[in-house]
Amino acid sequence: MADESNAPVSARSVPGADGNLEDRIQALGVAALAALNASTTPKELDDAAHAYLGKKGELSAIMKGFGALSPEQKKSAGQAMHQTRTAIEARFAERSQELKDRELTERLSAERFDALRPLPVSRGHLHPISRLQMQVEEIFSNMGFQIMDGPEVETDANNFGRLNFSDDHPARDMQDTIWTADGNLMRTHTSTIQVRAMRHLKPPFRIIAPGRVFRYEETDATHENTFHQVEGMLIDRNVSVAHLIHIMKTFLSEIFERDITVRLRPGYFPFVEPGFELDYLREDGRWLELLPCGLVHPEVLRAGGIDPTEWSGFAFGLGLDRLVMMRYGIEDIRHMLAGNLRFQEQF
Amino acid sequence: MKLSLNWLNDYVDLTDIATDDLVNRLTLSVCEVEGVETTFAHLEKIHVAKIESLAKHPDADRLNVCQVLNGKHTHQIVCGAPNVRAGMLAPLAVIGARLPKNDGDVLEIKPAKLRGVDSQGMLCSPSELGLVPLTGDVDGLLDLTTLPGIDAKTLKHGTALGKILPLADTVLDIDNKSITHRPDLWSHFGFAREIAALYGKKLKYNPLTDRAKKQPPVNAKLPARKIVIEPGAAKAYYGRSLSGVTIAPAPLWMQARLINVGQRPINNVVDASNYVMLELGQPNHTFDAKTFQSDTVTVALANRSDAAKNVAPIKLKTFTTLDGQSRALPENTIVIFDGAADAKPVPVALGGIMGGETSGVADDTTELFLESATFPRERIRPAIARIGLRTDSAQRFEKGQDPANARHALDRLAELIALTCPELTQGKTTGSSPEKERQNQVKVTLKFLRSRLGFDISEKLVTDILTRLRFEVKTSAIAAGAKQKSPAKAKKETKSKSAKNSDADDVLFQITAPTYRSQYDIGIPEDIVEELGRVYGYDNVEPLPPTAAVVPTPKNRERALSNRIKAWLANAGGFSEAFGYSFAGTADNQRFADAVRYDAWTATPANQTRALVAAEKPAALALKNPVFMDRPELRVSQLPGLLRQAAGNQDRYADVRLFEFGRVYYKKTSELNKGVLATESKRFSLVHLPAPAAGSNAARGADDTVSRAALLEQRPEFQALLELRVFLTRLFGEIAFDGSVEFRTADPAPAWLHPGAALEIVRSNLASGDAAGGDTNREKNSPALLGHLGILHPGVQADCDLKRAAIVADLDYTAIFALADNSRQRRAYRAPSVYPDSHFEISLIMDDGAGTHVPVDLIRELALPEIRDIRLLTIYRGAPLPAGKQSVSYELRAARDGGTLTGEELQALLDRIVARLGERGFPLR
Repeated sequence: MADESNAPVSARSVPGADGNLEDRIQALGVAALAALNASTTPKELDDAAHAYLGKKGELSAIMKGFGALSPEQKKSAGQAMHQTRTAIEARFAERSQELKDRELTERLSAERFDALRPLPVSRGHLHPISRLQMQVEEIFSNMGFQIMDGPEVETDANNFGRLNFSDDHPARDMQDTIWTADGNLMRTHTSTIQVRAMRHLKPPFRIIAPGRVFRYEETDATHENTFHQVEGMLIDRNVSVAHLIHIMKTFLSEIFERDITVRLRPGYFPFVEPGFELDYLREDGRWLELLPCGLVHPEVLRAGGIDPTEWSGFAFGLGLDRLVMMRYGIEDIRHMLAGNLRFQEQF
Repeated sequence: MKLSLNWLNDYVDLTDIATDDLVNRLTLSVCEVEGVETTFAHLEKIHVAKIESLAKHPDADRLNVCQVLNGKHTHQIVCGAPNVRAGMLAPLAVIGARLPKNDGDVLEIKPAKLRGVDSQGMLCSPSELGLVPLTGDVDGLLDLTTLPGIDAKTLKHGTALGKILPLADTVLDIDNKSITHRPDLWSHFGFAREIAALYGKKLKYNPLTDRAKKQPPVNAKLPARKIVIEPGAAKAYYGRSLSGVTIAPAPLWMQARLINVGQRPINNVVDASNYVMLELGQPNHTFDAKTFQSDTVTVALANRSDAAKNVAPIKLKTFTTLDGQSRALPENTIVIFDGAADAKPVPVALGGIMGGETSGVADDTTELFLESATFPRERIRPAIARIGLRTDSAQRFEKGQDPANARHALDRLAELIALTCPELTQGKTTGSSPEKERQNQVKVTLKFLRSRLGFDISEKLVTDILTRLRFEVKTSAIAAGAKQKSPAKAKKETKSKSAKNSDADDVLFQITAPTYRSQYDIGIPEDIVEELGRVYGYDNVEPLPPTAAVVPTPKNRERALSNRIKAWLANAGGFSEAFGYSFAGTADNQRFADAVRYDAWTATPANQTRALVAAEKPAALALKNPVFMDRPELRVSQLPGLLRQAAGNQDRYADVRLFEFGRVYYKKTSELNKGVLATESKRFSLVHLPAPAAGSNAARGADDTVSRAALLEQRPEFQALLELRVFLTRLFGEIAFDGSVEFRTADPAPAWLHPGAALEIVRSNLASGDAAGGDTNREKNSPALLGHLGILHPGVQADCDLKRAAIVADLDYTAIFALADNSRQRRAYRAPSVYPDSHFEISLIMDDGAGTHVPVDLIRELALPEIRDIRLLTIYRGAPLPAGKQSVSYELRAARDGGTLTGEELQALLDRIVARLGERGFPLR
């Protein structure tokens, strides 16, 4: 096509009145192609095409002279006419596309959008405790633990009595528990959900229960009156200390994304017997106390309507705030409830 | 509690146990060890020095240059002490000595020049050596000839002070919380017994039972006081009279031990009393017997709450303890009285807590009455809390001491006092134990132990460990199948090859705990599991995966959805999640109370719901002991807290978006909340402080005078409100894909919303009934109101210190979850139409600022199935419209499933719509 565009543009002046009809048709064809090539806008292109192909165009004018021709001449002139028209039409379509392409190219080279204009795009941030809680829920769900929930305002019985806290246990003192005026309390641990799980589920079962808990406590960098725990409980036949260690080790290895070594030490909690403090081995080789756990006390099972001669189990409580603080090196627990975006936006 | 290793070594040989190993063993098997401290190690580099001569410092008035003899050496020491004199024996810190300072730092002694004069060490005062508890403080050097219990003639210069004073020790700091359940461990002897068991060692000496040879002689003339124990006042109470007491310093070794475990020595009697408590865990008391008026001691419950048989009630309002404080006594306080209950008895001590001011030991005391008792822990604990005194003694009684110890401690106490009182004689022991000594019995099988421990512990190891812990163990074989009722199974067992060997298929242990483990301690088979596990070492137990049936984990859809919404709010909405306290102020609660009021709506048809509102009047729950005085209630809304958190961020961020997902609480009300303690509503609350408008926005109206409505539309909070509405619509679309959620004007508006921008979010398909049906029961139980959205009331905005307008939303998650749960499987399918839609536009004249949604609602109410969408195109104000009017254009899209709408059909639709709008005051432009 590039060659054709180099064809002589003066072709239009060439056809002589005395020339052969077919030669004239061909000469007009050459002239028409030159005109199409010379047009630079769709309008020029349309005009040029019209000048040759239109009803009053040059080729139509020649057609009028066909009547005087012999059949043979008509036939060969007709063929020439057809070839010429086809060539012009084809060229027209091509040229039309060329012009569109050129126009688009020009437009695209001219249009520049300010797509990187500075904008106040801020994404929201989940609370770090939510993030961890979701992760914990996922890990335990994958191990077949059901996620449970329970009320934050609880009875003395569910928070203490059914968990084998004797009436004179120190945790019942006013110093530790926030009481409501109507004689109930703000749950001091998520272990209340153990009680609810035992009453609602038939053994064997495995549950975890994340939630908010409350203590009557002065706040400082390491103490809050409102914090978050995940309770866990597994009830089955012949559940042993070895099973507890396995589940804890597996869970912590998932959370910390490395193989975690744990150890159990004796720890006293009324609702477990034996009771443990679980330590894990940090990367610097030191043991760090992480969570209390133990085999469920038979009195607790009994209070939950489960026969301790048939069933046994283990339970654990994980402090989410502490784990979050460890994970990110957060220095002050009071950030958790401050709603400070400078803290929040880092997670 | 502090444990001196020197002291422990009296009872169990620790010489071949490294301290690190002991700490580790205790940590893994017994309790938490919070710290290990070596005490008075510096005394090895403090030498007895004799000041031979001294001369004034040439350049300093207050300094002396001393020539000091230290064994074979003579040092020149510059000293500023006022009491320095030639011939004095004083402590010399030699070069290299490291003296602990009060702030925890260390002063290292180096050769020094003081004002140009060389000094080769430092002569020390008692406080510089940490010896004040032993010697008292002195302004100047410690004169070593005054050391208590040291014969000055035997002092030789050059001797290390550490050789003279038995103070160097290693002290373990035990976390008290970790031994709350082990009353027997609150003493050195208790820990010695434990350590002996852990290491399989024998006790060298048992201070409870190895009677001392040095008991003071019995004096028959001394009063044998009658001891009356009222019901419930003591488990054991014993007393003994002593005569011939001389108050003096206690022996040096005793003082040294007391100092090292954090006690301050007082005198021989008080120190002996403390020593016995710290040795045996048995609190005791020494009265000056001369202050007693009678020969009867009554152990009573003062201000007794219940009438007891044959007991004269004693009322006692206050009592002055030996620290000089007057204490108000609550009911059922154990008080020791001098005299019978009905003979005007004189109170002399708060039993188990502290002695009285008037009956205590003084410098001139010569006669003593010793008390050793066990008080019931259920009485001691409330007394500690109410009287506010947690003494060492009370701390032990609240754990529950062994009454078997009480009597033995008297012998030990008399023996120790006799060490410094050569004339001491003693009377007979009187008293009794209303509660007898107890040894708990536990029966447990080897199979049980193995199943709980998770490994195959041997019968021998069980017996071995328990015996070391001083349990008595009897074993008997349980024949195979003996416990099984099915004879078929038993038969099968006997047929098997190992039948003869497996006669002892299981072993039954009959275990008797020692008395000191029988108080609030060992009682059930699980306790034996713990004893074995901790002594064996849990770190020796191999982890074992539990075996469980492979079943799908029951899903918590509610939690899954709330987690999804949280993620949506954060990631799509740009809202950051904040947590707030559950506690609230009364004013906030009153203002936001109607945030929960609508919670009580039931899912009756949407147009009837409002009628139910008045029936419910929720009230906030008050706290008995609020942690924050200005927040005495539980919150009824998350918004006040969230708004204040937003205010905290408003100066740092142009655009602040916060949300909280938590609970609000209110009193249970009416039958809707039967069987719950409090109504806890889970809610999503959102706050958005949009950035202030940027620069001057050109007014959109064509007129010069911009209408009020047009101005409102330019406000950032209006744009933000629309944005949040769109966002929530998409969120609800995500949750309930049948599009059954609708926003409408809240009338009346909640008190915390701008009355001109208050929306409620409701389920919209309740009345119409969805084509696909649904669980009607569920629907009835799910609230119709999902929440509120709007611009914060300007008054609340000011109260929350917000400098700019806020958009708030408060959503009831229970209702949202019900909505999601209901619409999980109810989508009806319709094949997509292949025919083109028809579009037409209408322009309506209405009052400026009128709700542009009203015409849309009116068209929707016609319920024309062909109208598929209505879209607002433009709002125009200005000429040629009269002032106060606006022209609003809508585009309607219409279609029919079965074919293209004809011109006639379209016209008919348009006619109906225009007629309807015209009737309601919306003429075509």
